[in-house]
Amino acid sequence: MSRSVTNQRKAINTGLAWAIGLLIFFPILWTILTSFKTEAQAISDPPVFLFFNWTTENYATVMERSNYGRFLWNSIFIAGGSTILGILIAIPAAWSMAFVPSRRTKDILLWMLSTKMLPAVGVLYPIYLLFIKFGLLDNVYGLTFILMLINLPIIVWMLYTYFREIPGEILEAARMDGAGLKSEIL
Amino acid sequence: MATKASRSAARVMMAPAVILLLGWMLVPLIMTLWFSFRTYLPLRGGDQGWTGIDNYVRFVTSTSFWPAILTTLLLLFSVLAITIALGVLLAILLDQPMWGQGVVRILVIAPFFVMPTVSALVWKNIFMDPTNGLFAHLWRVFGADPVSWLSDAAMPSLILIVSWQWLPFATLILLTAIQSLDSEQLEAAEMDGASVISRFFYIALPHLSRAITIVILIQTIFLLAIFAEIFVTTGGAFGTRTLSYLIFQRVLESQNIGLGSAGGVYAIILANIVAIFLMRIVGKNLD
Repeated sequence: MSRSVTNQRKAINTGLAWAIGLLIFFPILWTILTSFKTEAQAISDPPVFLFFNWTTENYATVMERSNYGRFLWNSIFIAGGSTILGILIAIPAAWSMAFVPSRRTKDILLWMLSTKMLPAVGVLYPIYLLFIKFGLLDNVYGLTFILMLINLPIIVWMLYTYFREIPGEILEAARMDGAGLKSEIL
Repeated sequence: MATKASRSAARVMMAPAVILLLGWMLVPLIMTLWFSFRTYLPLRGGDQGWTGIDNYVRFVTSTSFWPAILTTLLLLFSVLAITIALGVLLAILLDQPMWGQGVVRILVIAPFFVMPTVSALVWKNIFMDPTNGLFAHLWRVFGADPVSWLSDAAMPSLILIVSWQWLPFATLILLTAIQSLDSEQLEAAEMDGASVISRFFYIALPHLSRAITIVILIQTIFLLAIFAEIFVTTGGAFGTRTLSYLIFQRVLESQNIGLGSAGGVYAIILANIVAIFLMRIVGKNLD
């Protein structure tokens, strides 16, 4: 901002923003702190804030009791896989809607978003049956695929608004220079 | 500008997304419609044939139907109101010059990256627990009796948890919008003697209308389907049973697919009513 800002006002802003920021972040901070406490300290009255015996015992317990690494890997695989797959499918779609719009483009976009309005619980059992049929139960691939479908509309929307902001002139210039479809996108 | 060749190329490129989504929408939807007209009890005899509209009548006449609808709408509109009101103020504050702006923004946005199940567990056990929770300690310090939040004030607690999760999203979207606000316009208004309040209502708020629309649309979609938070904190008790939770109970706890599917159709209808209602109000801001 080009307006001259007095230091006093800046200090007030800083104080207020930090106070609110810390308030919002506090639950996470408190969870992290608690994770380093022993069972007794975690429920002590009054609660201890920083001055307790820091211990990593809880982390060891978690690792010991369950196959934590495996769960973590599952999460990463599902989240990463569905996102990458979704982006691969969404990029061409969003690109063509942003740069080669037709009369129906807006309708298609709204329709895509409306598929997200379908409540997951409403279609829970059909999906379960389909999974049985295709042998997708009890593995991560079916879940990855479903999550990709669930998030596809949002990805298309985000990419669409992003592509729309690229000025058309840049693309036209690239086209004149003989850039193909592929290099335009990349 | 587009040639005929690039037009057909565009159709081809759109095809995978459109076909996948079409399949994703139609197949489960048709199956749900099919089941909703049948008596289907997986653990008690399986599929027992057609029953007409019995399931639909039973679902609506159940005593938990209207309370569930009201709970769903109450949750939706409270969270929308809280996150947008606070989000606008927070976005304006975070846009001001200050020290450590980057760190504050990360602090504010952090809750969005906490998984819903985890955040519900954290709030339930570490904050709202009536004996060991932090709130209970705080209440005792001031000599008050600790409140058992999730049973005595279940709905406000749930709204608090969900708002905490979604405030960062609203703030983030609104902040990006506010950064594109022309500061010269604000300056000119300030010189003409416009007060802070009128600058807010006549310049900042209209500028944000598009971003607010997007926040409302996306949040509505997710809030109507909210599940993990309710499952973890109250299990649908104490008046926090939303429509989607009610369907979940019908399908999985009572093992009645037909009834649950009828509920699913109602949920789809509700989602569409809310969507149309919202589009009417905010739709003109979209383009």
